[in-house]
Amino acid sequence: MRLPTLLLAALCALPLACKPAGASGFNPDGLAGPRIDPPLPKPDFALPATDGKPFDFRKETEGYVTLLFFGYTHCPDVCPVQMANVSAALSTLSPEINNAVKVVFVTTDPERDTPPVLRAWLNKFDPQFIGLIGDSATVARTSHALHMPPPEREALPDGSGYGIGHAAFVVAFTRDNLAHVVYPFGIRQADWARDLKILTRAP
Amino acid sequence: MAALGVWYGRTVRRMGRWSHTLWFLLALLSMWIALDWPVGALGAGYLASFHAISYVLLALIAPPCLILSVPESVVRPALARPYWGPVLRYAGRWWLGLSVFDGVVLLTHVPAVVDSLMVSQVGALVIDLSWVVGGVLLWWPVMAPAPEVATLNRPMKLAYLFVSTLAPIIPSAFLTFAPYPLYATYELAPRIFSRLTAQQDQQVAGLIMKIIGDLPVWAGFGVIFFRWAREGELHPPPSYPGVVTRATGNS
Repeated sequence: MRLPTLLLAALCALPLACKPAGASGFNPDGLAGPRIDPPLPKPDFALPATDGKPFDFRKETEGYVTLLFFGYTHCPDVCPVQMANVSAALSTLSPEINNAVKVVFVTTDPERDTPPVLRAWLNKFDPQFIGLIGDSATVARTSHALHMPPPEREALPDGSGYGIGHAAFVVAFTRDNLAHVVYPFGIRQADWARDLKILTRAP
Repeated sequence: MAALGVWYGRTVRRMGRWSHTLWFLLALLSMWIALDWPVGALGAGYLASFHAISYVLLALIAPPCLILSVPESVVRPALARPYWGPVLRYAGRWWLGLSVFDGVVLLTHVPAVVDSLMVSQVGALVIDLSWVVGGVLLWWPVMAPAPEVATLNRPMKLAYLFVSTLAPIIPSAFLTFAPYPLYATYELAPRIFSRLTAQQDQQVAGLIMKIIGDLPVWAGFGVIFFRWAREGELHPPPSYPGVVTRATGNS
């Protein structure tokens, strides 16, 4: 009677083995952000960083959990809050997790966000955050690859300048170079801290 | 505000003293500071610390000022009325004041409650009103103008005020020691001061709530205590050889 018991055990285990997962087997269910299905591959682009050196996004973030965000320093609300919350969450986590994560901020306002301006702004949150400044075509192409709307300049109602309409979510790539989940504006620090632990454990 | 003060001063002039008008103006001033720019506006959606300032003003400073602004000659006729009399007497029950105040303080600091109410002006008004009402019910048994309402004797008033400082310890401790911001309202708001993080702002809110918030209560405690001590000095109990007497200690 051993074989039927083993068969029964195998049949019971089958639903557990059939959990939906990305191509790498990482299951983003339970994470705070909405799932991307199918996962998006890491875009291939290179832009100058705030130190003036070229930054090849795929190559430089290979092997890291990468949080990619498009924004600008004059953003009144979304960008500073997203960066502040990611930074605050990382500050509560271990050095191992911090070393496993790279945060890449691509400016959608290259006219005002010069390298010193962008660097100073990012340093308010974390000096380890990477700032990239690129031409509009590259930024638009990369946004398109990530199914994001392209940044759009909008005049402010009082005529004092302009704002940039942009996607407000952070794209999270795990070590398999796939984005399984995005984090829209509104994700809390506690959720970031919990999810970053999970993302850094993913293969 | 000035007009209200003038109207009140003229109204109570016949029935009370100039100090009643002064207390009324102080109550109005406290509420105005709590609700108007910058405290009210920043506390409504940007900084938890400013909301804590509003709490102290609306729950612990404005209510005793309001009560002190009511002359006894206004309360006494009300006590004789069929509806107001029982209401005013019932509001003087110490257990009602403590339980309502504690309940309001605890409930209005629950994250789900704050985040759901603070999104609208009506919700924010509900919180502000609950603080004022809770504060009035807290202070009424201690300082109601008519002794038949404020029936606690002085030692009981001191104990009552001490106990009233205990419930706020719970939310202020959470605010001060929580590892992450508790309220999405303030965590996701644009930073007003770039060097003050949401976490730090929350910690400041907790400290304001407890340390600054206790000051009015301890001030009341001190006034009652020193009046009681002074009364004991002016009217010491008579002493007879071999007989021990006790002072009554009533207000």
